[in-house]
Amino acid sequence: MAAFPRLHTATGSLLTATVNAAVTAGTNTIVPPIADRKITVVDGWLRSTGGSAGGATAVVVEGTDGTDVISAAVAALTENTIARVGDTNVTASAIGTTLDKGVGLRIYRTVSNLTTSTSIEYCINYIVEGGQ
Amino acid sequence: MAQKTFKSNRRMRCLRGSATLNEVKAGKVILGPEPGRTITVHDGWLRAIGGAAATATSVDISDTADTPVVVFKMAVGGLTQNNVARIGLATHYSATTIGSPLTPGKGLRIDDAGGVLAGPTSIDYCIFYTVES
Repeated sequence: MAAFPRLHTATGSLLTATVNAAVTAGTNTIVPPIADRKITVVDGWLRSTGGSAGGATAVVVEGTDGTDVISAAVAALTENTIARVGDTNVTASAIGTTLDKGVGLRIYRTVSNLTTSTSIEYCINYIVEGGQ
Repeated sequence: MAQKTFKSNRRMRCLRGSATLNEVKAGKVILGPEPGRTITVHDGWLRAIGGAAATATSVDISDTADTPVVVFKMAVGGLTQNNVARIGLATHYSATTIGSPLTPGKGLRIDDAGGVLAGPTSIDYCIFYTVES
C-alpha cells in the first residue's frame, strides 16, 4: 500500500466529433501515455452539454490500449447532468485497477456515433505510479 | 468588508486497495497512523467483490483510535457485488465525519459493524483525503 499517493485530475471538454473520431487519430486522448508510468483511475464523471446523448450505446473512458475503465450509458448522459462513478447506468469496470505501463486515457463511444450532444465534459481523478 | 481568509490548498491524496473478508472482519488498518499528522477524509467509495455484502449491518471506515471514530459507514444494502457504493449517491451511506479533521496521529481502518460480514471475498476501498502536519 503506497502511502499518500498524489491525486491527479484530468478535466476538460471534447466535442462530439472528437469523441466519435477514430482512436487511431489520437485526438480523443485526455491523458497522454507516459513511458514507464502506470495510471489508476479512481473516480470521475462525465456530462453531456448541448443536448442529451444519443446514437451511441455509451461514452467510455478507456485506456489508450482500449481497456474499458468507466462506461456511461447514454441514458445517464442527459443534458447538463453529471453522470459519475457509482450512478445508475455508469459502469466502472476498471476503476481502481492499474492500467498497463505506458497506457494513457481517452474518451470514445461504443457501437455507434454519439449524436445530439455538442460536447462531453469530463473530470477524471487518477493516480500515477512508477518511473521514479 | 472583512476579508475572508482561506487555508492554503492542500493536495488531495488517494488511498486505494482491497481488504479480504477476513481482514475486514478482523479490522484492517489501511492507513497507518503518523504522529503529528491529521487526516481529513473528503470523499470515498467501497465495492464488494465476489458477492454481495450481507449479515453485518455495515462496512465502516474509522480512525485507528482504541474507541474508533467512524468516518463513514456503508450499509450492506449498498454493497452489491461489483458496484461502486459511494458517499452521497446511495441511500446506504452515513458520512459521519466526512470533511472533519480526525484526531491528530490517527490513521484509518476498515471494519465490519453490527454483525459478522459475509458474502464478498473482499472489499475494495478508495478514500480521498488530505493531510495536515
